[in-house]
Amino acid sequence: MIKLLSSSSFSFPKEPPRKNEDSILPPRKVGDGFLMAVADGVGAYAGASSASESAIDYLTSLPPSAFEGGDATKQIFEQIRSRISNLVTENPSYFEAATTLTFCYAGEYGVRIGHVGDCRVYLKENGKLRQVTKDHTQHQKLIDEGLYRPSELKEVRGKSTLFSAISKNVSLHFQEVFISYNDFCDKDGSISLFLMSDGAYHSWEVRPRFLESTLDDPNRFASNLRRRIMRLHPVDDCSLVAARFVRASQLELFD
Amino acid sequence: MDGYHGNYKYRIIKRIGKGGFGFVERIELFNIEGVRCGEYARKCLSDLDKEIREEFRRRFAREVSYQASCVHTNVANIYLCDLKSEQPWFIMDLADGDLQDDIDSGALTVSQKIKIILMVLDGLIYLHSLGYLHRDIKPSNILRFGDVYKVSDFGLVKNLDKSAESEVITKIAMAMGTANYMAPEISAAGDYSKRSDIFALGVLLEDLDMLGNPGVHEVFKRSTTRRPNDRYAEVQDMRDDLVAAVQGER
Repeated sequence: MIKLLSSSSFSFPKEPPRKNEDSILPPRKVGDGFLMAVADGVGAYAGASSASESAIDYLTSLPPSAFEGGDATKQIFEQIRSRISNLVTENPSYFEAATTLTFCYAGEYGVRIGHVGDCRVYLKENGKLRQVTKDHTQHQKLIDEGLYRPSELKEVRGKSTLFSAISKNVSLHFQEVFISYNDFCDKDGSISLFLMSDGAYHSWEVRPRFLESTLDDPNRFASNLRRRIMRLHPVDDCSLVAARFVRASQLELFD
Repeated sequence: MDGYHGNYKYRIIKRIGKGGFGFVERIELFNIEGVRCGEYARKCLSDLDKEIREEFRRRFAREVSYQASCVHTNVANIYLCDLKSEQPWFIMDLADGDLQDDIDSGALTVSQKIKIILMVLDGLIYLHSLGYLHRDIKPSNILRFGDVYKVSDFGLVKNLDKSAESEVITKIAMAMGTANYMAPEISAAGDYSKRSDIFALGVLLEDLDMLGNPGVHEVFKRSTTRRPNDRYAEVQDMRDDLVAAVQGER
């Protein structure tokens, strides 16, 4: 059994009068685990916020069994893709509506991560955050394929161009990760997860460090990161879901 | 008459081609006085499903606007268009054939091949000078008008003009074009650049069976190498090397 010790989240638009095209799912009890997610509607196409909302709505409707089985993640993404494809019936201009989606299901033995796009999941490990998901951006793919060196793309536009997202017009390409608690539990047995949209991690990556006491406290992490984003000025809509869990057997250590 | 547009009218002779989202007709064009201007090609957007109609009308309008802005001997130009009708269309010169047919016929001489590839390169140099990428260079998109070859089919042309993209907006890159002429960065991540057009031009050298000349083979290798930054940066550089390689064969 896993228990939620603490969590904090935020989601706000780049500029106040503008629509927030991110949608988030703060930790929600689903069966014996917790589900949380960040979706970032792809801004170049009409229906971005409807697409990200639709993805989160679908996740919240799922029973615990939907996260079990070998092809659970694939099924979830395919169902969401089908919902987003149907958005065009509500509004013909949503023909190209698209969203990214990154979700974590913290179950009994570990965390199952499903990921499409450029939101990120970080785990706290040895006093630092380790990025677990791989950005589905054009630049990352070009580097992975050995077509460019990172230095060659440093000043080149296109960092926010995706090669994968959930959309009627794009073939589904997703990353699935399962990480056992045995592999990343903190010294005190706690598990800290951080989901961020690109607007949020843009500021985090400027200087990817906070005091360890801040990393251990999702509320403090959220307020510090938010302050940093405002100071640097948001480059996009910004979302964070931060949560700290502990396995039930470890919980006794806190008593 | 089958249609009127401004001071012109046209009669459809027959349909001469069909693609996924449109078709091409051979037409006879007249001015309003009934004076025959000659035979032309009319490209029309098909009657598409409501769901995709608006998007494809937008793309068609973009194709027309880019192609109409080109004035160069080696780029097929557009004379008339109607983008507001139910089925948008444009009128261009009627081609005598395309490069694919001429390659298939096996009748092209070495000297003709050299002239053809230089015409295509000149067309591309012009397109790139306007900030356009063609993104679908292949023999069937190179049309022949008499002895002159012109780059055509602007369906996938992209404007590199950065001013239109001042705000950082997330978008999705998609691989479009024809697999055989697609640079690795396109298939992997939908990344287009002048160098991906240069890759397709390199494949064209192979299509024309010109690699027997060691100099041309070197140009081919440098045009189609896997890493974009190892290719020619500009079509003009490729042209210069090619001209040097074929000295004596022209």
